[in-house]
Amino acid sequence: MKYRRIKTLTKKQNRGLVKIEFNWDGEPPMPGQFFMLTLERLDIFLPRPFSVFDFQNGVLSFLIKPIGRFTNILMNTDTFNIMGPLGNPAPLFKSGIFIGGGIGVAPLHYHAKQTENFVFIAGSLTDDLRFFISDLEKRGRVIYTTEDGSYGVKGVVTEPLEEILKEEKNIPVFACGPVPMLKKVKEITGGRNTYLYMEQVMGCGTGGCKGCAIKTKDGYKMVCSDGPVFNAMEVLFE
Amino acid sequence: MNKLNVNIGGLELKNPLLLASGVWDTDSSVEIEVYGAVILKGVNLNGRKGNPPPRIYDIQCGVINSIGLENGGVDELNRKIEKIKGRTKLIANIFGSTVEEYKDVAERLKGIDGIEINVSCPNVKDSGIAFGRSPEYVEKIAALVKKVSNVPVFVKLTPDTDRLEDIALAAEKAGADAVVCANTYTGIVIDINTGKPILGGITGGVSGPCIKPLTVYRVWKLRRVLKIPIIASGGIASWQDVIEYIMAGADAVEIGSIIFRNLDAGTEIISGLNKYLEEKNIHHILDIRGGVHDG
Repeated sequence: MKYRRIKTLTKKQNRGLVKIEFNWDGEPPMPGQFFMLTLERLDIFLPRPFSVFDFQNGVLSFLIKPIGRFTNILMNTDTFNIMGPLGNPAPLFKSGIFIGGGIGVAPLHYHAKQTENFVFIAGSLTDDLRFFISDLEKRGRVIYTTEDGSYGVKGVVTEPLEEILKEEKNIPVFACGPVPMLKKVKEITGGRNTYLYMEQVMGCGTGGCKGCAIKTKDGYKMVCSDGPVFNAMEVLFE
Repeated sequence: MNKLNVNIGGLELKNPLLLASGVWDTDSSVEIEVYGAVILKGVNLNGRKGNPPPRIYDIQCGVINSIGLENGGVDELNRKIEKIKGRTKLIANIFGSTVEEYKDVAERLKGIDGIEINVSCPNVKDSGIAFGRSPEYVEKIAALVKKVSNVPVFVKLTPDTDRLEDIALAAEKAGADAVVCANTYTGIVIDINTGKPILGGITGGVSGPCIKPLTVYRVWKLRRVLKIPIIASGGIASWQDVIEYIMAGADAVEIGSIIFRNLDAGTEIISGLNKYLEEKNIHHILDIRGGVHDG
């Protein structure tokens, strides 16, 4: 497997988030899968995993929030190296409830687009996600929550989930976001029929180094080669 | 004529480039045929669950890791070896929490071409590095493993010691066929927002380009006292780094961390070495070995 040199097609920015689009004629990714990215410069040594925000007509995109060194440099360069798709595809169902916290909506966006009937709950501090995911509104039901009340329901993303679950029973729930949010989702659903997109610092991305361990009831598992999507029943939180 | 083939303590290799232990786990991602030999992930008798996460962290120009030698034990490794046998030379990296465990693992291994004794992992408290800092233990373990093995035996040294020469000489005295200089350097990274260590294992092993001059120094130092071959390992990212290590006195080299960002690094290094030797009209790569000492 090799890293391939990529040239950015477009960058769309809105309120601190950026969508990076580029041509991809490699293996098409399945929902749940991710790509490893490297920059030419050696002073950012480890590759970073990025999930697929969208893939259509040969154009692949990532949704990023430039907060660290890697993402800030990625913002200011037009070339990077990429390897993938990696990891296991998420289980696909006809229906689903998707719950994404902040930048965690990225992989769920691609996943929801391949689900016939869905409810998508997108939560953020402010109204920054709608600009990127409003295309979902014509495919399913989208609920926005903002903590500052600037759009949608004022509050946190897990609040509408309890209401939705009263109406929609036995529908799989997929969640991606910060650990406290994932914990809360697991608490609300009791872990039943719930799948969590997990994140961890990675080394190789291909199962070789055993770097990206998370705790599960069966011991340590690797986000890259056992995940990145895990059944909530098996994930252990601190 | 093959300008790159080397014999390391009886192990014939098509080139002096080895894949270091820990970065690859017998899956299909790495084209292992490129390497003179690959060293498999560290193995002990009954396996080890590894250290708590996070286990790996970018330190700019390098990596710090605290994997903690996660492995499924020697019997599982034997089954993995069965599937990759014949693709290139395979070397097992063995560790234990007692001197006897090293012997037991060595005895049970099947289908390997060499053994690398790991007495230098900084990430496990009950085995490895404590032995590796003692010339007496290194001699005892190396002699015991050598006695039960019919393949060449290498000792992977820790760089974290002021007795490096004594320890390497102890390995040589015990009959080791080569030493590997060296494992990672113990380090720590702290989250300045919480004041707590970032790695689940608290401390970790530092590797990557940032450590290269430190290890080149140790190879250079060992070349002056050792008769057996030295396999250099520390921060190699390019063919130029390989030349530098060989000029410092190495007979072969291992690459590790660079694989994280370039799975094809082996191919690029081999082609760079061939081109260099061609252009400089050098007959064989080891013709430049240790040359720096003469200047």
